[in-house]
Amino acid sequence: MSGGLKSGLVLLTFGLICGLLLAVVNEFTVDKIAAEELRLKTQAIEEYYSLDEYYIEIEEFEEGNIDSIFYIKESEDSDEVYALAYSVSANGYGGAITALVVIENDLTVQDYKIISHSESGPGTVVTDYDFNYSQADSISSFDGIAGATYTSNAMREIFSTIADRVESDMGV
Amino acid sequence: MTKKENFLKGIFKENPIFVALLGLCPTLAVTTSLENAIGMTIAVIFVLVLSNFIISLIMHNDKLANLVKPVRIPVYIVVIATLVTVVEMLMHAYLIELYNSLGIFIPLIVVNCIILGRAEAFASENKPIDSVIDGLGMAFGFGLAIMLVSIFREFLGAGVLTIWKSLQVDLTFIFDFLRIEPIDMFIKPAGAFISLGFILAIIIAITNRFKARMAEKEKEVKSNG
Repeated sequence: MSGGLKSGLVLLTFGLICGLLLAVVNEFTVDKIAAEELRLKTQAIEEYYSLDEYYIEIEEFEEGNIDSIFYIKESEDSDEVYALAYSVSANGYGGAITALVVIENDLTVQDYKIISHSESGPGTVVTDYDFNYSQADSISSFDGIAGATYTSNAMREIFSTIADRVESDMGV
Repeated sequence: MTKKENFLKGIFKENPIFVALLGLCPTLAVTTSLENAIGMTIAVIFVLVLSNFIISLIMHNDKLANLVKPVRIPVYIVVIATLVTVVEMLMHAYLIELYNSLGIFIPLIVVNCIILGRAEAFASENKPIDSVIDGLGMAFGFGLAIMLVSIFREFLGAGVLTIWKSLQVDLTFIFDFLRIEPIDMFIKPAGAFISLGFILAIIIAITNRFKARMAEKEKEVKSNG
């Protein structure tokens, strides 16, 4: 057997063993990761809408950049939506940025929080930056991060996704 | 070299940050808080010790070593990347706040020069047990160094030391006593370079003074004897 083929087989074997190990660890952690991410989102919503007083209905999406929409209602049977919380992702400089945006029924933006990101350099300020997004159906006043174009574009994409559909979701 | 010397060399004589100046990217990036430095240290201990152990096991089996030798660097990278991904998944599942705080710097452990450097320079030529001790020493040396930098930066930049989640040591009274505000710049990227420069200068000054004293003592002994 030639040296190159032997080396290729060695690498393939190592790759397969490592892939198998990762599959096992993934099997153990996948549900926990999903639960923790949901906890983080619910915790962020709870800062404004206590679960004791409000009912939260979750709609999940498989496609597009919206992961889920949280409808905050008075009770399970109520049709009136007090607020919406969008969990939206977009690609930044280092990978996906996921933000949770809470919007009241008069379309004012209550708050937005970064749930996860992989930004580096100037983009790391994304977690605390004020993007000046205050009216949910308009991103005209959007203020990006200087020196972090990819991060700013990702955040703009997140907000414009919400702006495009917030009125119909809210039913106004 | 005794086991104790093997362990201690990573902390003092061959400290990866302060002596070899390796792994400076995470050192500068994650040292904004002590909590980040502690989290990074735990991740590096796990990866460095296990990668040293696995690579030493592979290279100490003659048949396996012969097969791996021509492609040893890609094999090391595969092993290290697997361990880093395991750490990333576990941190995402059980320490999600820390995972979000460390961000891109967890996957970047894969390309940390310290880990690949120890695999090639030590683990591939030494016994598994010695490689584990070397990995522990180097990881502790790295951890202590980034904790020192983070204490310096977080204290001067925010006036607090965040040990874990809400466990904080509030030192703002020192700033109140001096009637000044914490210097925000130390938390920012420029502050990372300035802090590391300061700490390195102090360490080099102390080391040089110590070496000069030792040389003087040696001279005295020679002239007396």
